[in-house]
Amino acid sequence: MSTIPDQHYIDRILHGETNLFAVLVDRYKDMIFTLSLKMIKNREEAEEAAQDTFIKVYNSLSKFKGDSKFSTWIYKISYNNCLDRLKKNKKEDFNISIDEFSSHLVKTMDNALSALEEKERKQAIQNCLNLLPREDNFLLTLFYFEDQNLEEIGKIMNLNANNIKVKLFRSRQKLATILKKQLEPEIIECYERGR
Amino acid sequence: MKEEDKNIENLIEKMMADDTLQSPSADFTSNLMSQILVAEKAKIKPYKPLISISTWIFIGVALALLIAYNVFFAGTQNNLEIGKSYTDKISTVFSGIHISKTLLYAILIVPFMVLIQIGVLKNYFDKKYQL
Repeated sequence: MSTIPDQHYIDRILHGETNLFAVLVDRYKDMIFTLSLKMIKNREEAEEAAQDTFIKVYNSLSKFKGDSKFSTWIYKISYNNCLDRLKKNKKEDFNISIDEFSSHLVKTMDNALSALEEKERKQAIQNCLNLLPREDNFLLTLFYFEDQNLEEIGKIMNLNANNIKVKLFRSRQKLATILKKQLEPEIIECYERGR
Repeated sequence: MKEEDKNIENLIEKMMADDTLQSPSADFTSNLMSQILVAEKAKIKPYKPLISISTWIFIGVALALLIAYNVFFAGTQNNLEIGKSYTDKISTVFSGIHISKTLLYAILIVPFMVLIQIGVLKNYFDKKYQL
């Protein structure tokens, strides 16, 4: 299925085969929904936002000129759509101050995380990601789930590649800070065991 | 890059590997497509006659008034003297031309034949360009 390029479907949709849009929706709905969820942090609203995004994509499909990847283009639409929604609903974003990390602490955190059972670990990671500011979360998802390079992420988030690199660095540190707070009891345990 | 930064990068990479893509509800695509199809249908404009019903009513009323005026008033009050000499001339211009009855019938038949042909041709072309 994924061997047929998006552009082939786009051309046919523009020639009136509206139903084929479902193929593109199925291809990207998980990613668009996840990205919206990272930004909005509420399943129902994120689903609405994802739907909105796809309707916008459909209506401006003729404006897609193929200068960038189709995925880059629709992620950008999704990002702007989420920002609009958040602005309208005046949602406050969390603020995380970045802690200093010694390399020993990072290793201890790594060990503590690995010591957790899989289910527990996944839950802990979900909790951390939920506490991460929206844009950092969006950025990390784009970076780790899609083979988007810094240039493309820059296009999506209206920044240049260097800014993205710095942002990515800070996002990682923020997530590590959150993880440290979440893992506090386990870290102490690990320290004690290490003695 | 400092060592701890490298370590953080590795740690986050591990964490993100444990995060999974979320899926929207099962009927997401079908809901969306039905919304899009409804919007698409609304875009196709319904047939709209060139002369609207209200215009037709106006034309009908105006025509009826004109005829009524002619029947009830024009006959009795003959104050339209201006065009009289012209109408007299026009009515006498053709008095010198005599048309045989056969020719008259022939001329009358032509429009009927044309009317019939319109129907036949319309049917023919409708069938030919049918999808």
